[in-house]
Amino acid sequence: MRQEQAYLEAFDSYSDALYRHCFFRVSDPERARDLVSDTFVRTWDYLVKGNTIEDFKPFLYRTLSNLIIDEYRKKRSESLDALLDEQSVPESAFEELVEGGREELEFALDAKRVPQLLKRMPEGYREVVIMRYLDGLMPAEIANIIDESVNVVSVRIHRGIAWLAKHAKELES
Amino acid sequence: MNGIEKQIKNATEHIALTDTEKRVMRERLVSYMAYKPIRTSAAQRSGYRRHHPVLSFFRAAHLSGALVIALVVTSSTFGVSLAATNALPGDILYPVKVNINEEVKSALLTSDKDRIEWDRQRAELRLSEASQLAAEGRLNPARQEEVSRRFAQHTEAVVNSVLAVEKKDPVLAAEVSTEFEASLDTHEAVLARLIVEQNDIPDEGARDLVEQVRSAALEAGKIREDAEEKIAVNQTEDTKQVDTVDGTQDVADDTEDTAPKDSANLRERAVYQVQERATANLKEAETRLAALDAESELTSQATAQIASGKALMEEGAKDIDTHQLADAYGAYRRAAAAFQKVAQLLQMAVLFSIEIYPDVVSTTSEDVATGTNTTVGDEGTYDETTLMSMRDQAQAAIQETQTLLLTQEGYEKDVVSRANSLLKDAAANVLRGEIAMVLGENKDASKRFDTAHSHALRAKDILTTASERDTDVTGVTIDTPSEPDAASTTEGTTTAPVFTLVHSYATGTHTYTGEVTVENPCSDVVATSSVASSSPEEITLMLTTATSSDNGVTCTPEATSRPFSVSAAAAEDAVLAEVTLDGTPRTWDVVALATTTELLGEDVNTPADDSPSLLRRAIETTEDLLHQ
Repeated sequence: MRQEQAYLEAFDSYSDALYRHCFFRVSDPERARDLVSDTFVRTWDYLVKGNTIEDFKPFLYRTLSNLIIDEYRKKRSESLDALLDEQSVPESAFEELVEGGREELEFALDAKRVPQLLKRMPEGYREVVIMRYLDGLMPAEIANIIDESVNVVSVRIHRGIAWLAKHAKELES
Repeated sequence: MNGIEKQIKNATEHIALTDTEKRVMRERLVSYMAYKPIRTSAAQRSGYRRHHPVLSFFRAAHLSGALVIALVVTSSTFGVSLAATNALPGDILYPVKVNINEEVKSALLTSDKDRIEWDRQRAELRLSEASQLAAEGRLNPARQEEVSRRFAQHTEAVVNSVLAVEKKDPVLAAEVSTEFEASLDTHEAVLARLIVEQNDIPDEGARDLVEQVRSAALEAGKIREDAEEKIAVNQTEDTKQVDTVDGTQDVADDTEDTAPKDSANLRERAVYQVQERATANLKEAETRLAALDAESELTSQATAQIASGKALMEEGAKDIDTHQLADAYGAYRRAAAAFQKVAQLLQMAVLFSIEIYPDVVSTTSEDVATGTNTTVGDEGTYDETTLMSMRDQAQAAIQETQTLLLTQEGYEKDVVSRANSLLKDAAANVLRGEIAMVLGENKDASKRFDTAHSHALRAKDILTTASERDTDVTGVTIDTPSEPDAASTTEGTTTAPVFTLVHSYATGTHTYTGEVTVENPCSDVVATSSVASSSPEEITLMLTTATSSDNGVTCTPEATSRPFSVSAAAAEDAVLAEVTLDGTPRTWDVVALATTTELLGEDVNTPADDSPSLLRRAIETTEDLLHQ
């Protein structure tokens, strides 16, 4: 298939999902739109340089993630990594997540509260939680996009869900 | 099923780009793609170019260095190719538009329909550009040449692809060619009109372009007919088959044969599609009409056209009820084309501030259903001599009305512009008729000349009624009575004779004396005047011929001169605004008769070509009046 066509089809298929993803990560509709637009411009630039893209979805997410991180770097000086210390978590504890199976956490989310909760969630968790649950990406795909190991991604997802459960309950009470 | 995933999804689903945001973003990306196309050749992958895609783009377009800097500085990322979308032939960015922006779009289209549609649009775009250039007076031979070449290219592409799909999908072929035909017709009308309007355009090339468009329209028409034949909407077989529905016995026989069934399906599809198109076009035409000023000639003609299109649609609906699919198709097709043309003409009216009136659609179904035999017969009656005389007749009517318009003052602005539009439209129709003659389309030519003639007459009508209605004209700038335009009267047309009026002024009274030629000796002339209280005051003279009712006197028709004299009380600086004879505005010359001394000494500005008798009588009448 021609790259031009594939590119436009990718726009049609993923622009909404990318926007939603971006919306919950930057909390600014306008900025989110710009970032999605920039994502596609950069992707096109990549194609213009003579590269080919087999699968647009991970490429687009990766590009968007990088742009979002740039955005954060502009805003805050401290490293995002400081928010997390995954090293203390035994990687083996999350093998089921790696396999694609999910550890079910039983708690009810109030639909109205979800956006609010996502906004408050620490960025390190938010990124992966959004990718996993909003965009429906598998941990392996997320790992590929954010250049982390699958285990690290799984840990973050798990922690993110735990955080969500805790705060959802807090909000209820 | 994962609870959290589901819950999060449900809670966030509503977050999405709006359709508009998405469309705008997509358009920008397409422009960006056009602006920075993917190049695959090895040369383009050199390090230098890779790091300077913008520069390489401009170098490819052969632009000078200074310009590159200017453009890079002033344009945003998408600016260049967006700016290029409005470029016209001869503009710097025009090559960007046609070679990059449009080509990228072509490359992105995959379906037959989209591609044909796009080629069609490109052909039409070229014509719009030519119209734009013509309207700006910039259509020089080089630009016209470029437009012609590209138009031919796109038209060929349309024709080839339509022919290629015709066998597979005759309905699509018929649809595309119908629309192409109708819009070429509009473009032809617009170009012809703009040529008429812009006399400084070198005529030859522009005329050639109109001819080219006409030929393309004819070709589209032929393809449409072919395609319709394939759908079999033109065949009487259709009616036969419908008849057999009543005779139950035959139905079984027919269904065994698959071919008619297929074509019946095609017919149904064709009717259904053309019906949809007619409805869509009607909506567009009505929307455009609603956006316009309700009072103009164009809107009234467009309204009439829409009404007859609707009548056609009703006819089509009836035909469907009675299973006359061929007739239904014909009616809907003509309705769709009529609406399309109205919509396009209204659009053009806004774009170029020109009023072009839609051709009258006949509500009878003659030209579709009855096939070719009648047309052949008709063609015979339009021989060249007849056409030439039709042309001359139309031309004469145009000139006559033009003279009326040029020499007569005091019409309301609105009336003048309506008459003017009609006249220009008539002139454009003459031009189109001439072109049709060149192409051997005699029937078409006769239709054009006919339209020209009737438009000219209508313009004349408007002028005449206006002057009857507004004898008391106020608020219109009136110059001194104008000299009849020499250029427009010398062409051997039947111009109304010029009145010579002898004018004198004394103590608050203006007196005009002259004579009128009446048809027979029994007729007399009654002259009255009115004065409009504008500044300066405007005097209107109304002359009425009246036949005296003395019975027993035989009035042999014989042109007889009748003198008249009329006075009007007005200030010295009052001007003569209008002279009417039996309600028709006439042109006049005024001979000033300033003082009695001059008059007695016969030291008068004698009009060069006037009869001495008239003058003498005028002087006598004036003397009488002065002595009273």
